[in-house]
Parts: sequence; C-alpha cells; structure tokens
Amino acid sequence: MSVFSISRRKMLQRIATGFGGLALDTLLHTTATQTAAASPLMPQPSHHAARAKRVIFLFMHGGPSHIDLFDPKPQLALNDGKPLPFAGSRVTFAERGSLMKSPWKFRSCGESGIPMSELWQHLPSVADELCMLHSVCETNVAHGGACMKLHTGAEAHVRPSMGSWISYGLGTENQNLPSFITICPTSLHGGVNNFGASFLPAIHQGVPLGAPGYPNTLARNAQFDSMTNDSVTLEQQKIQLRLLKDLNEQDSAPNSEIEARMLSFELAFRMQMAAPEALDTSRESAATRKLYGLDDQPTANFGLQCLLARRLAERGVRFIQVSHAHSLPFNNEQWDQHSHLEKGHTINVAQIDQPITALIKDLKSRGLLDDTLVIWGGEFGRTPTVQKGTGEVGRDHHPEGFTMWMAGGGVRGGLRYGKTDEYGYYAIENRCTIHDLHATILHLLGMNHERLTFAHAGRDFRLTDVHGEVAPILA
Amino acid sequence: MVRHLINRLLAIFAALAIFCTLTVCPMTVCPVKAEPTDLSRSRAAHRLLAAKCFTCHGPDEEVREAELRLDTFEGSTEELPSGFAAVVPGTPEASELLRRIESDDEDMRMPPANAGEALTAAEKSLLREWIKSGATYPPHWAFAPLDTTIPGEPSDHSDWNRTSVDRYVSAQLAANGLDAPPVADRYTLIRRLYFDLLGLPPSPVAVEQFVTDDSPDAWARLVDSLLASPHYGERWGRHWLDVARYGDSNGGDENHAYPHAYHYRDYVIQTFNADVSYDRFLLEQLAGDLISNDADSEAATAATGFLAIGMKILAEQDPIKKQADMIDEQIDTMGRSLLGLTLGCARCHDHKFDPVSTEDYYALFGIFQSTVVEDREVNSSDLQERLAKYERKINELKQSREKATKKLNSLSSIISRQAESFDRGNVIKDDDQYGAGIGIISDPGGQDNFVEYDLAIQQPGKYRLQLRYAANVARPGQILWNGEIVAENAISEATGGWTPEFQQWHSEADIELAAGEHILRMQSRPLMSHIDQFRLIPVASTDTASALVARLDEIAEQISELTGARPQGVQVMAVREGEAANAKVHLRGSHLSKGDEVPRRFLEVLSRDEQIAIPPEQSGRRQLAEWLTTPESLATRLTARVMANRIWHWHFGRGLVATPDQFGIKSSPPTHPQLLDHLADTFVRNQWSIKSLHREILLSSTYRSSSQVDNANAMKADPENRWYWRANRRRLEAELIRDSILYHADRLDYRQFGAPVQVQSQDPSPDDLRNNRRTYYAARRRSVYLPVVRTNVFKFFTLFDFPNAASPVGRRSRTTVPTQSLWLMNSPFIMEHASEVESRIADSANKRERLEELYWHLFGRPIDDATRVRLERFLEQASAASRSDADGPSAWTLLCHSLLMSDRYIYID
Repeated sequence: MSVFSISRRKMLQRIATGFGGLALDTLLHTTATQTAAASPLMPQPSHHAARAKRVIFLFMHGGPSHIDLFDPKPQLALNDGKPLPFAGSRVTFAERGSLMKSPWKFRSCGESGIPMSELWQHLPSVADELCMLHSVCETNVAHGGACMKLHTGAEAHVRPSMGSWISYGLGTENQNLPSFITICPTSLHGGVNNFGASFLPAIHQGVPLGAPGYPNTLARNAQFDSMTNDSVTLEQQKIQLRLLKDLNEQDSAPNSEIEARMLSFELAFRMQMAAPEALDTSRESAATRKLYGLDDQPTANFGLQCLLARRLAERGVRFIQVSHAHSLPFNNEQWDQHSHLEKGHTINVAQIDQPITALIKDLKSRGLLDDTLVIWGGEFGRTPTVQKGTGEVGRDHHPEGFTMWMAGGGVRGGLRYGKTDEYGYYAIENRCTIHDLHATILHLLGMNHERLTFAHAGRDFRLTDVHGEVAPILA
Repeated sequence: MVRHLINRLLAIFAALAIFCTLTVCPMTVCPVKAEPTDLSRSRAAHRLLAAKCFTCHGPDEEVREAELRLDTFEGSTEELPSGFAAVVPGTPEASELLRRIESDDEDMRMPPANAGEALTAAEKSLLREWIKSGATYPPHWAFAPLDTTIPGEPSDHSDWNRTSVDRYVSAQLAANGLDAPPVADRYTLIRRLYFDLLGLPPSPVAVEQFVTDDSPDAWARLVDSLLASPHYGERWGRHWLDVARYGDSNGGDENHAYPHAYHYRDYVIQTFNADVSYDRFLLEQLAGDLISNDADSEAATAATGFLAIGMKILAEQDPIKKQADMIDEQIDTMGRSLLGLTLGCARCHDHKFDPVSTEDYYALFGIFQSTVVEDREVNSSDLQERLAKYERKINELKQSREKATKKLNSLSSIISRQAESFDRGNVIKDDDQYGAGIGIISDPGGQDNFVEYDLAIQQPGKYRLQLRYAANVARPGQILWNGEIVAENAISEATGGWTPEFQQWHSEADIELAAGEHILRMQSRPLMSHIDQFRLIPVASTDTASALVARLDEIAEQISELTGARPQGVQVMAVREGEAANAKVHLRGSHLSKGDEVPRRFLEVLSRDEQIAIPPEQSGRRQLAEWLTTPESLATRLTARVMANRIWHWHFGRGLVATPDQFGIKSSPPTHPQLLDHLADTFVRNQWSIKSLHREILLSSTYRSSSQVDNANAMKADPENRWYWRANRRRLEAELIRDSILYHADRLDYRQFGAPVQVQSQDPSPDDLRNNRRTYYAARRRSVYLPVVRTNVFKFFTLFDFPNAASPVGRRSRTTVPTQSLWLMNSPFIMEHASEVESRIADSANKRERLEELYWHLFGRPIDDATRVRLERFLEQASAASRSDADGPSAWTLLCHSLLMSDRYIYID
C-alpha cells in the first residue's frame, strides 16, 4: 500500500475526533487549521533543519547562452572562427560550426565580482545575492528530453516533477492554496509532464495558473481552472454543501474515504475565496509596480509573473515555477537562438532583467529571501560554436556545461561554483548534474534526497534515481 | 402516474420480501488464531530479507557486499571469509546473521545505520524461528505450483456458500473470527452489477424487472444477459486498456498524435465481447501479424498495437538510445502487464529482489530488437466490396460527364477552337506523341511561350473560358484578353499525366464580352501544359449552356471528392518481423558499452529446462506468447495468477494480491492464496475464458454482500476489509461518472468503435486547449471512445484518477482532493447536464411526486422519507437564495446539480 493510504488512515483518526463534530458553517468561516491536520498536504517534518522553506523556480525555456550571459571565455575571442580544438560530444542537435566569440563585453559585478555581460542592466545590483553554478552538465540535446530531465530527473520516462516531490515531502503551509503552482507554463517539450505528479498522489501535481500553452498564457489572463462559477452564488453553494453533508450523514456505515470527500468540498469552497485574493495585485503600491516594471514594455508580462510568484510565496505556497517566455521575440524561439543570437538574447534579457532583480529585492525587503530559494536557469546552455546552416549567426543546444544560479534560501551569495573549460564547452570542475542540482535543492529544503522515496512498481523511487550529490554551496 | 406509483410500491414490497429470504443468519464460528506454518514463516522471512538485506546481499553481483548473498540457501549457509556462516540451519546461536542483527555495537549491527533502521524485536524473532526450523527457501509463492486446497476446517454453511469462491472466503472469515455478511438488497445489487459489467446505470425498467423477478435464477440470468451486452466489452476492454497503457499520442516530449491507435482499442473491445480465450488474446497482441491469414489480418495485426502504442521520446537525437528506450518500454510493459514482474530493473543490473538477471533482460531485448514498430496497412474484410462500389460510382459519374459534354459541344452558341489553330505563337504542335489522335500544343523546350487567337464575338454577354489540357506536374501560365490579364494563375492544375487520357476541361475565367473582334493570348514560362482546345460558353442564367456548365462543375466536384475518399486498407499501429539477431548486454544499461551476446530466450527462473526454441530467422515473439500460456508450464502459473487476480481486482476494487502489476518478491502476498490458485486453475481449465471466470465470481455470496455492515469489532480487527466481512463502497471511475451523467441527461450516444474526436495534441496553444475542452464537453459517445491524448486527457478524467498512460496501470489510484470538488461544483459541463437532467423529469405541480420521479431516475430506487424531507427543505432554501437577476439556475437545477455531486451518485454500494 502506498504512503498515501497510511496517511489517509491517520486522516480518519483525526476526522473522528475533529471534523465530525464541527458544524459546516463554522468550517466555512474558520481558517484552515482544524481541517489542515487531515489533509495529505499538511506540513511534514523535514529530515534536517531546513535553510529554505519554499522555492521559486524561474525557468528560462529554450536554453540561455551561458557564454554570452555569465561565463566569459577570452579564448573564444582569441580563436574566433577556428574549429573546436578537441572532440565535441558524439550527439549534437545540428551540425557543428567553428568557434564564435561572444558579441557582448563582460564586467565584474558586486563586491564578489561575478561576471555578467553588458546585456544585464539591473541584475548587477543584486550580484552579491547570487550563487552561480557554472558547471551544470547533462547529455540530452533535445528540448523535450532536457526539459523533462530538468523538471523530473528522467528523460525517457514520465516521472514525478521536482515540485511534486517537494510537495509530497514537505506538504504546504497554506491549506487554502495548492502546494505547487506553475505560473504560465508551456505546453511544449514535455508539457504537463514537467509539473505532473506521475505515480505520486495527484494532490501533489503542479496546478497551472494560466492554461499551459504555446505561446504561454499572458500573465494578465492567468486564472486557475474551475475556481469560479458564473451562475451559482456562494450562498447557493453553501446550501448545496449542507445538503451533501446531510445526505452523507444519513448513510450509516462509516467510510473514511467518504468522510475525506466531504472534507474536500469544504477545502474547495475555501480555495475559491483564497485564490482570487492571492492573485489580486490591485492593492500593490505604485513603488512595487514600478520596481517590477508592470507598466512598461518589455517587462510588464514577466514582471507580473514575478509579482504573482512573490504573492504566492508570501502566502505559503511551497513550490512556485515561473516560466519565460510568452512574447515570442520572433520566430517563436524563446531563448532558443539557433540564429539571430544578438537580437534574440537582447530581447529576452530585457524582458526578465528588471523583473527578476525586482523579485530578489522585494523578497529581501520583506524578509522572505532568507528562506525562499530562487533558482534561475534553462534546460541547457548554448554551444561556443556557431550553428551551421542558419542565415544569421546563432548557437546550438548545449547540455555539456552551462550556468544556472540560485539566490536566497541558505545559499552563499557571491559564490562562483564550478567551471567550464576555457571554451565553455565541458564542465570540468565541480561538475553538477541535474541529479546533483535536485539533491542540493532538496538538501536546502531540509530533505535528504536518498530518504525522500515513494514505493511504486516494486521499488522505492527517488527524484534523484540512484544518483545525486549535494553541492557545497551553503552560506 | 398513479398506476406507475402503485407498480413501484409493489416492486418495493417484492424486493423487501426477496431481501428477507436472501439474508442469512450470521455464521457462528470459533475464532482460530492460526499458528504460522513453516511455509508461511519461511516466506515471511524471505520477504523480510528482501526488504532489509537484498540491496547489498541479494542477486545483484556488482553491488554485493562481503561476498554474502542471502537470497539463496547456498549463499546464506556458505562459509564466509571470516570463517563464519551467516545462517547455520537449525542453530540460530551459531548464525552470524542473528549475531549481527541483534548486536548493539554500531559498527557490527546489520543493517548498518546509514542503510536503515534496526530490525524490530518481532522481525528478529521471525528470523530466529526461521533459522531454528531449518532456514528453508521455499519457492516464491507466485512461482510455486498451484495449491487449491480449502484452508482450515471445511465449514458447513451451505446457505451462504453458493460457489466454490464462497468456501474459500468463508473459511478465512471463520479463521479470523468474522461473520459472513448479509446479501445486499436487489436495488443495490443491480446497480452494482450494471456499473461493474457495463459501466452504465441500470434503467428504471431493468430495476423493476429484477426486483420483482422471484425465480431462483434471477441473478444468474441477469449476469448472463449483461455479459452478453455489447457494452460489456467497452467496460472490460477499458480495464485492459489501462494495463496496455493505451494512448492516442506519443506523450513524453512532443506529443505527436497516433492517428491509427484506436484500431487497437476497438480490437480489445471486440475481443472482450467475443470472449476470445486469454491465451489467444496474448498470442495476438504479441505476434498477431505472424499467425494471421488474409481474412482476419486486420484484427490480428491491429492486436500487435499492444507493442506499438507506448509512450515514446520521438525527438531523441541519438538513434541507438531511442531504439533502446523503446525496447525497454516494450519489455517493461510486457513484464508488468502479463507477468506482474518489473523486468525493466534488469536493464542496468541484475534485479535487486527478483531472480531476473541482465542476461534475461537482453535475451528478451533481442526478441524486440528483431521486431520493427511501424504503421501497417491491412486489408479490412470488406475492402474489395467497397472498392467495387467506388469504381461503379466513378464510372457512372464519368458517363454523365461525357453525355453533358457532348450536349454542350453541340450547342450553336458555343465558340470552340482547337489549340493548334492559333493565329500567332512560338509553341510546337504535336499530333503523334503527347497529342496522338487529338493534336495539342506545348513548349519546344524552356522559353517564354505564347500563343494568340483572333476571335469574332457575335452575341455580347458573359462567357466562361474553359481549357482542355493535360499535365503531370503543374505548369501554370497567364491568360490575357485584349492585352489584359484575366487569369493570373491559369492552366495550373496537375491532371495526373501528360498523355491524351489525362486531358481534362478546366474553367479558367468568366469574361464579359462585347460584340466584335477580340484577341485571346495564353503565355507561360519556361514550360507549358499540353493544351488540346478551348471553348467559350455563354453563361447567362437561363441558358441551356449555363445549366450544362453548372452540371459539369457539379460532376467534377463529385469526382474529385470521391477520388479523395478512395477506399483503402486500414492503417494500424503494429509491428512486423525485422532482422532477427541476438542482443549484447548493455553494461550498466549504457548502449555505448556492450558486453557478451545473449541468445534470444525467456526468463530462466520461469523456464526450468522448458525453453521453447526460437528459430534463427524469427524474432521469437510467437514463441514468447506460447511460453506464457503453455499449460502446466512455470510461466503459465504466473500468467494465469496475474490475470485471475486482475479480474478479481476489477470486480472488488482490491485484488487478492493487492499489487496487481507486481507479483515479485516485493509484492503484497495474496490474502487468499488458495482462492487465487483456484481461480487461476479454473481459468486455465475453462480454456482461458474470461466470461466463465466472471460467472464463477459473480454468482458467489461474496460478490453479493452488503456494504452496509456496521460492525465495530470487524472494523477494528480488519479495517481494510481483507476478509470480505462486507462489500466495499467504491467510487465510480471517471468514465463511469461521465457516462452516467450523460445517460441521465439523455445525451449518451451509444455508437461503437471508430476514430475518436479530434483534439490538438502537439504543442497546443491556450486557444487549442479551449477548443479541446469544448470538444470534450460536447462529445456524447461513451468515454472509452474519447481520445487518450497523453498529457491532455479530458481534465475531468485526470482529476478523477484516470491512469497516466505512460506505463501499465492495473490498479488505479483513488484520490480525494479539493480540485475534484471544485470541478464538480463549478464546471460548465456539470451545470449544463444538471439542467438537462431536470428537463427530463416531467414538470409537475406536485413537488413530492416530482422528487420521487427524480430520485428513481438518478438512483434506481424509491426515495426514503428522510431523504425526501431533506430534499424538500433544500428546494425551499434554494428558492429563497435564488439570484435577484433571475438568470441563475432554478432551485430544481441546483438540486439536480447537488445530487450529481452526492456520494450516493458517485459511489456504488
């Protein structure tokens, strides 16, 4: 039997002493505390002291170019136009061309001197909060496999996503909102598999705010599904729920599942009230709007996504993903600049630079950054070589060594962890696979990745499969 | 109405009377606390060792610690380098294993602290007793010979024991000190059976018939009639589709549609309806393409869709890895669905718990590597007939065309010219090759071709210009009238060939002409179609000519439509034999480093020396199917146990083995091992007939138990109801809820088979998803015919635990979460259908009668007083709370909506 059914049995015991005796009207107006105890989403103790309580994952779909954003390579400039001086990886997505220098200059930022290309105008102001992971490495060169690997740890199977694992391991702090929310996700490259629960109980699956799509739903149109009813009023719904409860009580033999079902109606009713409040940004100050660039282009859309993420984090949602990009700079490419590298990356950075900087500053000023782990990255980086066969210069997919970064949540700001070789091709020092990344994230959340298991199909499954080592990046 | 009510009351009395005669007095039994037998103790010890020790001391050689293996007698009793033996049979004191598990010294204690908790006192004691009694290693229960003896004292409760199933169940009830449950009332029974066998609610007429039928075989006849229903296959076929991880798209990364997958779905439904024997069913699914002759090739080839419809990562850039992943998916599916074994583990290492080696895995890998997955065209049985009909229709149309053309050409108002009769031009005339017998013009090679005709028009008016030409590939040009372009992209059709038989008329332009002299010019570059002639037809509306032109246009359209729909063989997702070859072991699962070649064969642990030889030129799929179902063989035991357990699971919501896809060492052992073996044995002896197995189960008292047993002692002793002291109250599966709602809204479309409605599967935009949702909402056919687009299944289904079609699912999870409630409370689907349900209930001033009617309609039983009073109160409250704008739903609609969400509707007793 699954872990879930055990917790359901616990639930029954709790219901027997708690829920059964409470009047419906009380339930509808109280906070979640009484009933929270009965939910499979109730907060669970961590394995060890947690540094981070929640995660905001800023997902850069398409593959941002590490060597043009964060990982400067003077050798590239010196050898511009020459062939790669060593054997590259066996499997490539497109045909490999010659080395190509970055079109952008770099400078050292903050006291820690983290290098950033001149594309970044805002991010340097929070450079000392960032913990750079320069040696993330994988093998899958296609978006689908790489996205699934990043989100679920598996590239050829449908497995639970990291947000689902975290929800399963830790529960959540606010029973009136889902534990795992993904803001404006894509329907491409694994689509819903990237926030699915697979064999974990479905309650842990990511709830999309805005239908998954291609293009992604615009933030201003993002809604939860089935949260509102145009024709039935809340008053009428209360009358309906009372009827359900009374009919339920008329049926004699006790049944834990049916008791739990009644409870889920109560929770649903409260979610209907909590969700609109969480999404209502109308009372945010003018200063906040300005900080996130909500009234300017090209920042308005991603700015609103980031602001929503902050509001959900404040309300105790455990795992929040924010997916870039909606706006399809041209050719529907997102960060995927096989061609038009300069134009594409310029537009993409301009859309996110101010909003993510704002998010970090805003979290910090509210005292939330300490226990909120912010993660930035895509499914792979881009090749130091030019991609053959495209008119305007661009770079191909590159999983062998690329950059992600983290901030807050107990990581050491200003740290540069790991290295790629002098061309930015292979990760050569402190290599950090996706399994290592996941192990590290779980560790920061107080969980031992080897102990976070779920029995399925005859064995115990883990997010990190049989791999994973925690990277020493703690503050 | 009154008469109707009287009938209904009579029905109630009759039902109550029958209920009384069916109810039996609870058995009085002496509770027997069974002592564990040696066999059961050994098995428990084996399971414990597997759970706690095998990770480092199991079958996997590569990670084995201290050269100690505890999964075999030889291994555990062998003298270790230290001079001790882990297990000394009969002498616990001398056994190193016990010393280590009982040690308080952190460095000595097993399992080590970093590997897990120390064993409990009970676990230690179990191992001690096991060693004391000889440390035997009985074969794993799932691999052991069938044992069908009824445990314990034979109990004489002939009034409760109706079938052999009951004898096993009552023996276990007695052994556990529990009473046999009463039989459920007939309203409950018929609703239970309808949903179970057909996935639909019983009609009120069927209910009345059954509750008033006092013949002794009423139940048996009901069972038989439902098993004979065409809807049976839709319900039980869907169960199998869960196991076969059926999907209409590849899922995984990019989600391309599988447009032909549904033939497999239809095959499964038909197979269940026809009660095709299970051994034949497996043979067809694994090797249908190899056993069929032309006459039945469609079904048998479509059956191999079982191997083709799995989740795939189609954008994988490494072709070797892609193939290895696909084969792994096939092996994993085959193992879990047919044998209850997780063979996929052995891709990288010997199985940690079960006796499955990497050699076993790559032996099977060779079989599937010698098999090609592809879409295949197969002859459907009526193809020839459909083709003949098609030819007839085309010929009729061609004749009509000829007739109309002749008539048109005979009209005096037509102006027509042979193309060769041009007045100026630089093209060539050809009357012996491409223009043999008719004369055509064409280009002399690449150039700027032109040709001009001087024409005198007598009768002013609107004319249609038509050209007759042939072209194998389009060579478009322009048409000019008095120097002005009248057709920009003219002469642009491809007609299928260059020669005269491909000459066709095409309308190019409608031109308003004054009387007088005119110049028609045609030009093209660099090449020109083969033009035979042109004509100008006056198209004033009353004219005969215009009617003929319209008729010709119509015929042309019909011909083109018909040609587009030329009957074809059916495309199915299937497999065929590829190049037969053995595979090499992939070291640590990597396709880049390979070890020894392994001959194609089957699992050693389930073969003894009974391997069926695979001829070198064959993949071995056919032999694989035979190996799984040869009577008396080791593998067949497992095949039969797994399927018998699945059938029990689908009837009761819980298998005798609670893990239907997992029969290995880590499985949950059967609650009623002999009953399982009895069912497996009966199954094989009845020629693997699934319907016979249904009867064996459904006619029992066990199946007919009431769920309304409130027994605090039993609840305490057996909260999970493993011994069947009552029936389980079960939630309807997602499809059943939807079908039931459609049924009660009178919107269910019973048409069977065929392609599912189209939804966008690959890269859907938010608009696509909205359209998909509309499509799902508007669909009226039974749920089994909705598309299973992996990652975009009907939202309602995923909410209510429809399986993720990424791998076999023999046991759906059953979750209760607020998002389900939100959907039931708010989705337009349910609001709309609630209002439809209301409109089905005759409007009546008499609230009471209307309530009775509604309740009968939805629940198939008369309303009780308490419920009626409560529903009346609801109607008053809802009326008082109705919206001021009067646009909202009526109190009755809100009531229907509430009832559709209620436990009584969503659950079966």
